[in-house]
Amino acid sequence: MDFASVLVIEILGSIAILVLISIGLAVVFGMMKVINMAHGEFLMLGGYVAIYGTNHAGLNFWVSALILAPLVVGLVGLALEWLVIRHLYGRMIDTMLATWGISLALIGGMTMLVGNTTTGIPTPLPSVSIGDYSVSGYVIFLIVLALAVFAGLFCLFKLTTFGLQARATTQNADMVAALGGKPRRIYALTFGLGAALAGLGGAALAPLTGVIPTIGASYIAKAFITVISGGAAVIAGNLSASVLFGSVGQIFTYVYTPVIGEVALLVTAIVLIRILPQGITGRFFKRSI
Amino acid sequence: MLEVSGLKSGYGRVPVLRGVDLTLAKGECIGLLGRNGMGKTTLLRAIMGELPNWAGQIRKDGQALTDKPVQLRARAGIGYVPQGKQLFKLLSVEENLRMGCVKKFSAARERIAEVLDLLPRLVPLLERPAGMLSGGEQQLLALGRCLCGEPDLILLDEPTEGIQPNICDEIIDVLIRLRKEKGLSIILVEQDIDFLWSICGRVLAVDKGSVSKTIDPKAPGSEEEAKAFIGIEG
Repeated sequence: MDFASVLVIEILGSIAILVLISIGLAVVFGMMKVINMAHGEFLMLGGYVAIYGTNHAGLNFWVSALILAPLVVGLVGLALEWLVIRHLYGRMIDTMLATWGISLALIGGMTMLVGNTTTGIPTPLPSVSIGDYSVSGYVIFLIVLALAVFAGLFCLFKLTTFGLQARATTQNADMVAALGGKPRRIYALTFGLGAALAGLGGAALAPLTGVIPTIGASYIAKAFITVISGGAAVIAGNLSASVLFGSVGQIFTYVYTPVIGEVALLVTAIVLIRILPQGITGRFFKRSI
Repeated sequence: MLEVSGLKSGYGRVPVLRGVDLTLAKGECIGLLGRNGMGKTTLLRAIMGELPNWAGQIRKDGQALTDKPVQLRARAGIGYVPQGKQLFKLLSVEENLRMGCVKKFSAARERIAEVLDLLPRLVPLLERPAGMLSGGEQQLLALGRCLCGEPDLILLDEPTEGIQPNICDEIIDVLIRLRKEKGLSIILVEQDIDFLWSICGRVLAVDKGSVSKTIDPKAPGSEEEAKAFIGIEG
């Protein structure tokens, strides 16, 4: 029984990690159809803000990871949207190229600033024992954080006028303008929101993995797989894809090895995209957010 | 209240409007009549600002709009009900109406209540996704969403296309009432001559990208003239 609950927590933990890696990308792709190749570097920046905030600026880890990191990376996202992305709306390939360029520039810039070495931070929570076993308290925190992110996004999209405008702009930006709205501003804020969520995710994962300027590359593939498999609905799609891939990956990791776990995740993704080219929410939960 | 002079516009480099002149007084309703491809929808889109204005002037209440983007024209009081309705299909009816209040969300509750008074057929549908409504209900919603923005000029593009006759009558009643009570001005593109003749004070015949003549619906024989113009044998 104890062992089963540990396994469940491990599975929920890997689902939560997938959510935190990919939700920022899901917001930007789902709401704006922009493929942000610099998403991995937004995660990396979030990690650095959290670690430097804690180790060098003397801030509490929770303050630097949960407040400072999303704030700083969100502002970076707003600035990049204003400088680069807004000129390229509707030109998907050009946006991919431009964001890839941003990604290379951010990796290069951070390498110059901090060097090409891994920086880490101790896991800020003690482990929790369940019977004869123990699980990382931080993993439990990540599960709670992922749930809070979903709840926050749901309220934002469903209850606020910004959320209403964002959903309307996704469906018909020209009509939003014809009613007197400002779709350009909605796009800018949505991109900033996606960047802020990436900053939060990167910061939350930093204690588990440490950060290095090239760490984005190890996140980006999983983030894209989750987002594309989820489909157009941001929350329902991300949740369903994360649950599927997180469970498959973790169960195979437990039965075999972490490598087989990764392989199983990728095979599941390939089969899923073959069967549901529009992603899970292209077929199911179409009307959800 | 609206003056358009020498307006030229088109798609890409293809010219469609070749110099349109048009004036509209407060509370006036004019119809645009013409065969397909003569530039009626293009004229509405150019007035709304969805298409660039290549030459000419658009002024509303003395304010120059020619270089203004779409949302500023909407904020100057122009409402647009485009062809195909362009609803937010995944949003509920109520959310569509709230988007109609995007210029001033703080007054949304009162505006929506007023609009639902005019269009009571929408009341039982408020929670339904807009994409699930019938064609006629969607047209009422498109009109309602436009009215939520409190426009004093509305551009209506073929509101009767493919909808049942009783909803047509409802739309006509609402438009006549708004024109009388609120002094709403209307530019109406329509193929249905009965509809045009029931509310328009003037009908402009659009041919090859400009206004070729003005028809007075009250003049005897005007319906036959109109039918001949769009090529229906009376």
